[in-house]
Amino acid sequence: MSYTSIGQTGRAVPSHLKEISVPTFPHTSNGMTRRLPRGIAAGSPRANWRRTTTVKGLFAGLVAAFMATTVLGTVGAFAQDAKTTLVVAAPRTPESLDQEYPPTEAGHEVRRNVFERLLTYKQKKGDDGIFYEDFDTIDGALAEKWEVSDDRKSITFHLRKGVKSALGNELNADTVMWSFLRGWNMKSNFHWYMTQIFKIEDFDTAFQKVDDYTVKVTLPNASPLIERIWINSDLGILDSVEVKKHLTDADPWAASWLATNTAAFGPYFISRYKPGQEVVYDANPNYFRGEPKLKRVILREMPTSANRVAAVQAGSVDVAEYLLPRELALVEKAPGVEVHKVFGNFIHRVEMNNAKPPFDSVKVRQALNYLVPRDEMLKSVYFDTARFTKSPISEIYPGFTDGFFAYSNDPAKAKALLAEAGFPEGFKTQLAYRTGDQLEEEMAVILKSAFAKAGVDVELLKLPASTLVERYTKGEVPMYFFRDMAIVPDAAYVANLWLNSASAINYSKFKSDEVDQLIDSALKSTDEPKRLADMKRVQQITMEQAPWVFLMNPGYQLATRSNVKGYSWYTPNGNAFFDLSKE
Amino acid sequence: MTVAFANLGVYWRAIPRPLRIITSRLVMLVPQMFGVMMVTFLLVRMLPGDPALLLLGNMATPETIAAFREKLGLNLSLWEQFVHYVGNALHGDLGVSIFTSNPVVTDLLERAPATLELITYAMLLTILIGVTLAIISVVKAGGFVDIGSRVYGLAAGAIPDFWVGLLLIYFFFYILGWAPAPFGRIDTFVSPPDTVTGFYTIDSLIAGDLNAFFSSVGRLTLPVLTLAIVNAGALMKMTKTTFSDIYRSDFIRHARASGLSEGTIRRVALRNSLPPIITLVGFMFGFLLGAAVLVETIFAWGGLGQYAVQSVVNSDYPALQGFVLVAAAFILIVYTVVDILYELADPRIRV
Repeated sequence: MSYTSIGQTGRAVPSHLKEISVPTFPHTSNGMTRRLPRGIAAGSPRANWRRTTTVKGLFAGLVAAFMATTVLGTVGAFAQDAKTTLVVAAPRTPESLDQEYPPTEAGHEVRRNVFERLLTYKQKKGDDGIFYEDFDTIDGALAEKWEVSDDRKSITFHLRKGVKSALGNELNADTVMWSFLRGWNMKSNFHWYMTQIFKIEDFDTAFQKVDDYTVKVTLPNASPLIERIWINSDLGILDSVEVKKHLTDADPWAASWLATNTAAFGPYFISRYKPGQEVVYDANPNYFRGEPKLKRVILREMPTSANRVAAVQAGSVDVAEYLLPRELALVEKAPGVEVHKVFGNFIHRVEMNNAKPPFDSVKVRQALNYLVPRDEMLKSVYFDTARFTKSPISEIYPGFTDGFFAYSNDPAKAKALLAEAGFPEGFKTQLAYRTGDQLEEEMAVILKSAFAKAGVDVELLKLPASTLVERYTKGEVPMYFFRDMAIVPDAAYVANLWLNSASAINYSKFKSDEVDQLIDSALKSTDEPKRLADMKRVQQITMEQAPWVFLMNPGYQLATRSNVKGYSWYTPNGNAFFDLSKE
Repeated sequence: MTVAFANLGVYWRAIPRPLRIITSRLVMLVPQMFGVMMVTFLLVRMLPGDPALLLLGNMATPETIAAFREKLGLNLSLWEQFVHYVGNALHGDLGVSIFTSNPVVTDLLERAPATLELITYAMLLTILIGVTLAIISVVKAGGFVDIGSRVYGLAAGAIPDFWVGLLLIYFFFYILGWAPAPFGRIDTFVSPPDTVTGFYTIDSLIAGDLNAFFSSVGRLTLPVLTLAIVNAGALMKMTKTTFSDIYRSDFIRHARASGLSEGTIRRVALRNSLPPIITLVGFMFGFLLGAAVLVETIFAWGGLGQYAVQSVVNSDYPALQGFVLVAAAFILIVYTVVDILYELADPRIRV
């Protein structure tokens, strides 16, 4: 999603209202005279005096107030302890604090900082000084130890003892079981992972409390993801003692309380949630990894990205999220500001409706891929902050290969392919993008002129986000921009989301029997080398079949003041304040 | 029957005129509000876009979509939804916003004062600038102010508010460092005063918190200035036209011939120019409620306009309906006040 700008609305007064005809002869008003104190007629010297002084006084007062406060307002801003407070400028505040709310970028950030999960990846420092997750090494978080059965059908978590929430309530098997129970009954994120990925059908047979500090989860089938899923930021454990105080008959799972309050075992809790204005995170003094170095994080909503740039440059904020590539190029050169760049898991592409002509033809889809001037886009739209997308799998994930990418910018080849497909003169089509997404708009214009070189006449459709989503879900737009990320670092998981013909979000309607079958077997198989080999094959087929116009990995970038240290990156792209500190 | 009505008429006329005007206008508000509610409800549902699909993203399965629609009540028929909505609205429940998770009433109570505070001060400054400039340029025609105001009048109609806002930020915050950071109504490290009126400037004075007062006035400076600069031009031009006609009219000439002081003459002329000024001010005030959105966005004001735009983009039906209701109520109130003032200012006019 993009939040940077909004459409221009009409302004000022319609011209016909500016000139209103006026009565040209005098009229006296009894009503007015009556309101004056007795004995003073309107227009008498005294009444006159009284009025002018009021107006003058008001004017003088206003001017004085304005002048005084512009100067005074800036003083005293950083009175509090600057070393332990972090101010973040964000495009928007999170939509909800509940981890069962559908995942969004702002929501993921809350989950990262407020909730703690059973398992985690070990951290490793990259060559660029940024801390990454080591996808090969799983570590315990709230679960100190865990065991997976040999048939990979069950996992047993041994909970860490003495872990306390910010409110001082202790973690035990009951809190974990209740978190599972709530997740299951909310029929949202937790339920989705359990039913769609683990194929669990019945709560009681799947989830068991073994003793006060041990919980066991049993799946109907073996799953290669039986450990990794528990690392996902959507699967935090709740402080059930606190949450249960807010249950009502109408709301048995505290959905409305948890939407605006937090109670969990993570490094922070939210002490102030003002959607559209700010969110205040306060440190959890009982956090099991130790109390966070930053005691308070204030996240301010600043929808205009240019202002986030100005604020971080002026030092009014410590961190500016989601800046445009052009702004990043500018801010990078500013003294006192540092830009952290990660080529993470986002994939930005144009999806084509593979089910309808002309895009049901592989050659047409390939032709469009040959028409994309990727170098030009990288420079003029992304200012070199992005990389080409060379596979449907995120480049940072295990199993990724760019070996099957062959789409150079070759209009002659594109024309030949179109001719073979029966469109020697090209065709007319549409490309949709989101209102307010500047990058997509710029890319759409470049693509329009690039496709025109082979006679493909593209009409650009600018649609509000919800309209766009509705229309491509129904298959009503032939081409549309799509930017997404999958947070589980597993090639089969990613491929299943976007390429399996059975997936509800395979909006491009791509269908390959071999791909379907390889994905289905990889979701069940626990033979890791074979899974990786199969996913290579899936990438090969996908690149040849070209269901999308492959564009860019836009990466994730964060601008901070230079004294902010310890930047780390996690797959949901939300910032982890626990890792940060200020010098 | 007719006698009864005639009697009622007698009672009615016995009430003082200002009260009569106010009562009859207030009674009209009820059907107007109901009409607004019904029309917006239906119009909002006719908008394209599906919030469930937009939100669920990767998690969209037929089951989760159905559960989500049920939660929002989108599975019911349009009329059932409307009946529920009106019933809840009468109990002060406008639903829960999909994109803030707050009850819409809570959101509106937080955001409406933000916008009202902004546009009230902006309107005051607009009137101050517009009317003052107009009077000076008529009284001292051909003078420095007259010529300057002509240039300004031309420019103010042409410059967009977001541009003025960005320029002010650039010079006063970024280059000169005089203005406070352009985000929000109060400094990040100053806690807002307890809510009484919702206006930070007033509430902080009530609470006796001078720090909060200065911080909130400082934050108001640039956005208020932006709105006033852009809108004062139109008011100035209109006041000038009206005022100069009256200022040169026969009765003013007569007053001057009778030896009244210039000050009195200006006051009388202004007094007679009031009706169209009141109309335009009322119109602008209502208009700014939604039109301040770009300024709100630029200054991260967290006001109603921003809320409305976000709810349209996201198909957040409850929030959008709540906004339209509040906006309609506000505009109806403003127009009612305008009508009342108008009738009071000019007894010949029956609105």
